[in-house]
Amino acid sequence: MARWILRNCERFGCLPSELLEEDAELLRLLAIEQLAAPEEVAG
Amino acid sequence: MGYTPKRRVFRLRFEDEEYDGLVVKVRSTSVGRLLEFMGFLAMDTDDLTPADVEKITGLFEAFAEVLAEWNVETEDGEPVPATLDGVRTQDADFVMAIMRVWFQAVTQPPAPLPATSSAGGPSAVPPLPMEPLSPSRAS
Repeated sequence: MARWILRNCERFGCLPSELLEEDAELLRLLAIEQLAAPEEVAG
Repeated sequence: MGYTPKRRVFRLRFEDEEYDGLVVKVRSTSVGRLLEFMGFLAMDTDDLTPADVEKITGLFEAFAEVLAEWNVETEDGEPVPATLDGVRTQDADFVMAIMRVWFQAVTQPPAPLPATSSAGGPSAVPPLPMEPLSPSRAS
């Protein structure tokens, strides 16, 4: 969870407090992005 | 004077026929609050500590804040208010079932469009901006 938060803070250039205040619609957008281009799983 | 953006309202769809006729509208929430719900929904409710119970109580309060509307009634046909007091009168499993569907509604991508479509009509989806293909190295 911490890693997910920090990674997205880095991505969007915001503080964790700002990310956590963002509308949950963001999670939906990330899920759609994941569907379009799933992350590579480290082997 | 400031402006508070309105949260999106989700009308939940229940696939379980046990909930036929149930109408629930729930507002969206913040990422932080939803992550708290995520932890709660994954919790083993058969083995709760006092700290877990306290956390669940807080989350029920948080859920009542985003619960916009429902058509739940008492056995006497009296409407149950969509408030914390109303939520507290309900079975915990029932409230958790609603929370799960709400969580999915907020976080899941919309269902894919049907495979078949009427021929000839314009697409309902606005075209996405596309970049020209880069030249092929093979050619």
